[in-house]
Amino acid sequence: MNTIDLLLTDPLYRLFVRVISVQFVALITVLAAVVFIRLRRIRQRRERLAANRSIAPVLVRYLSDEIPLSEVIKTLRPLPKDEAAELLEAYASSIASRLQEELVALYRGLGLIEFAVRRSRSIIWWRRLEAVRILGMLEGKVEPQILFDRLRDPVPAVRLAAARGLGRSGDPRAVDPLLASLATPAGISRPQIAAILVDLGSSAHPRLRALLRKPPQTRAEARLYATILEVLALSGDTRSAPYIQYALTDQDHEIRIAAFRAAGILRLTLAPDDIIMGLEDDRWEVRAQAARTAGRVGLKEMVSHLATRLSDTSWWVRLNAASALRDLGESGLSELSKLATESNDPFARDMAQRILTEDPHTGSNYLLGRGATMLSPAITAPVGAPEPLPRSGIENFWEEDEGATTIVPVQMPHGGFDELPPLPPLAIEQPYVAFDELPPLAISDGGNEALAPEILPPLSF
Amino acid sequence: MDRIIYIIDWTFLFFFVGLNTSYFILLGLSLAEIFLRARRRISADLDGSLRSYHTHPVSIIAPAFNERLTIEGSVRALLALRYPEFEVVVVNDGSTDRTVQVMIEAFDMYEVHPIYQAIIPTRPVVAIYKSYKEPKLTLIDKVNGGKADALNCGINTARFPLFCSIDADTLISPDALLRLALPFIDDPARTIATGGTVRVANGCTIRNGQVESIGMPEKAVPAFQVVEYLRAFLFGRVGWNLLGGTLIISGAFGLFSRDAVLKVQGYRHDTVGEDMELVVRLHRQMREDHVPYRIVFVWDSTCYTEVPESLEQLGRQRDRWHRGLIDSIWRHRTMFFNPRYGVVGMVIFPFFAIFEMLGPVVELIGLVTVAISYVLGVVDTSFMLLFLTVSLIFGVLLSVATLALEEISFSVYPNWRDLLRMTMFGIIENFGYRQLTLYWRLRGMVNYFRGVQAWGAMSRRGFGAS
Repeated sequence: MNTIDLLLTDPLYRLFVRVISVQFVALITVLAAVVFIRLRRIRQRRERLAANRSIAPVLVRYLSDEIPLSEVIKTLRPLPKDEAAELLEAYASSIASRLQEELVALYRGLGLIEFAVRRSRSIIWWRRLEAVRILGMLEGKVEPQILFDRLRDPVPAVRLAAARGLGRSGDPRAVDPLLASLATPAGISRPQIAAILVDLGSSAHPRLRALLRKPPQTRAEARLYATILEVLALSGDTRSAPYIQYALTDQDHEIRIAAFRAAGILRLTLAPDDIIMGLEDDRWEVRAQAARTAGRVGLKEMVSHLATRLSDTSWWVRLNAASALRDLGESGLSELSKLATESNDPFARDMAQRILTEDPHTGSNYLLGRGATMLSPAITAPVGAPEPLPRSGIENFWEEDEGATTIVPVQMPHGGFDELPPLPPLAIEQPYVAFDELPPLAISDGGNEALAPEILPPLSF
Repeated sequence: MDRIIYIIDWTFLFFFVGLNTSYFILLGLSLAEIFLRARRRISADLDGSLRSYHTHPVSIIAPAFNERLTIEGSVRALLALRYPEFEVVVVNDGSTDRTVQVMIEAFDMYEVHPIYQAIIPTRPVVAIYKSYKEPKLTLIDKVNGGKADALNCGINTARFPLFCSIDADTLISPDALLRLALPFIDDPARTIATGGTVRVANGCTIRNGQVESIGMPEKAVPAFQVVEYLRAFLFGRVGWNLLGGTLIISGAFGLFSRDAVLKVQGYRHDTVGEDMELVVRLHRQMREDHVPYRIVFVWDSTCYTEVPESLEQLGRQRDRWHRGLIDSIWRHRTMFFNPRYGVVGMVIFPFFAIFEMLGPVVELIGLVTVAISYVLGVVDTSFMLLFLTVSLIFGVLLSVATLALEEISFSVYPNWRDLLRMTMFGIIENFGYRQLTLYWRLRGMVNYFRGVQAWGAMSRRGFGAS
């Protein structure tokens, strides 16, 4: 039987022929797909480039009141709505806060708001995402309820975009839903919520401070409490100082860490006893943060206490204490130099030497002064058993906040919250919905950040 | 005799069908993942993450051994990364060239007090340097101990909760680290490691340590590797990632939780595949401790690396990779088809063991038996030709499908000429190049059983010459 006969009659050979035919068809299809995708991408790039070129000058002239809205609409109308929205986003993000009304008019004129409302109900998640991004760009001034609703979207990207939109809105009513979104399983993570709450700005401070009035009862509440302390400090809210100072001695270590950190960010004038208590805390994380804060707030009377911490069992406490001594200036540096050469504790000596030599400003002077003879190879040896390693919450130690420079001393009423001055009433100029009109939040137990509903007490001003 | 040949033929056929079916399933998974994620990639709010004061700080650890040509450019690129807070720790692993001097001169470095906490035991540290110009930069000069030892030394020195291991000749795209860190931001409690895509830097224009424009290499050897890397990363790892079992995070670019890695005592010194071994060990430890965890492959986080330009160097590299693979699988053989290790033990580990580790042997036996069968007249010429045609077209189809994935996801090669060349190399690699890699892997297997531990040096041209 020759090959042709075999190919036509033998089942195995016929199978081979079929497989090869399918392979060829698949190969040609894939090749065609590659070319098609490439061509489509080139066309999209060209269109985008052309639109980009034409839209910028038109937008600038519209926003400078040189041309009417209709001119811009005429330029953008031919573009598909999703592309127009994406194109506008690049420009809108930089001007949204200043020219909100003009932007809303433009989005409305282009039909993008109706488009977003429609897409927000889509079963395809990236369409809902587009919708939320459009509305978020308008800072929640239009259809804010959609942003609130999408905080409970099953897709994390949509939830996050909604939260960011609400964050840009500066609307204090967003605080509670944002915090509640921490509580849902697979909700938005604590760091993200914290960043968004910082974005909300000063309008959220009264509500956040109000939430600090209720002492936390559970671990989840404590974590939330700690987040709020940090958020207030990062937003430069000096009125949160009494709460921060009160929290320095809280039972929960995470709150104490957050309180020391917040005090450092705001550079509060703390009583030496408060810092000493932090430096002698049972938890090494608190000691480390207290040491760092002592350096930040510039408590010169802490030099001897910080020097003692250079013999701490935790490497992080030693590092922060030595860094704080450096930050305290001449007296701290002098103590560091003393420790670097005279301390009987090799751990204290090593850390002092490290900090002194690592710093470009003090390092070369120190080395010159010592004739660089102290670099002993012996200290490269292992330093004993591993120490406790950084755990959750440790991220608090590494964050720098170059922008926070407000220094406003606030006296702490040690008598507790009852002695706090009354908070001013919350001024909401154009409320869209009252708090109790918001849909009930589905807070489930057992989420990553399980949070009891009572953590959100009713607003009372 | 006929009976034996018959059995081998059928085994070979099953292996062939199984392997290609697995590849096509992976391809389908990758297509789905990339198609969906391509939108998410656009939507990823990198600027928001960049501003987020809770983005975890990262210590970037770059082990360097005789990297004087590339070290300055690589470090400059690292220092230019878009990331809120990071430090760069270059670990000179006893280089015999001027690596340390180049670093000192380029970054105005000065020696500091060498306090060093050896949480993971390593070879001694000779000196530690800081830079007057770049406060984020640290250089550790240590006695030679291998890449794993250098990485462990970097982990000991790292200050931050995440560390990024890279090769000193790796060029990271400016936002790649941020993308790699996103899973840690999204799910900080469970994520313990993430890995990114590695691409070929040969043929690209590099300026100031940054990839300025991307192009296909002119030489054939690196051009073949462009297609290979695309295939390995864009459909291999993307597909496994979707199944939840990333088993390899390239040593050239990976981000790890320092705690998790310290818990398993860092990288192993006595293996040449330390990157894969670490990831397998992390999987094993987490599963044994019943700790929920995620090891994620982030395909849109990209770095570039210089690949060998000569067959000799490439052969040595592949030999070493295969030895590393065998070693990792052999050390953790208890995971093989073990339900205790979930999808990793039941699907992914067996795939790597059967198809990747034993693949070269089965392929060799198959080819030899087909040849013997042909000589003995058990199979005829037409059958053999048909079979070879089917297997070759499968190979071509996979390569071309990878190009489609590349077009959907990145489309980083803008020229039609580059696309044409990629397609061409994707086709012709099946006629000689793949057989060569088969030989190198077999050699790696033999060397493994002979106890060879050598890495094989690779000479660098340096990015300045690109």
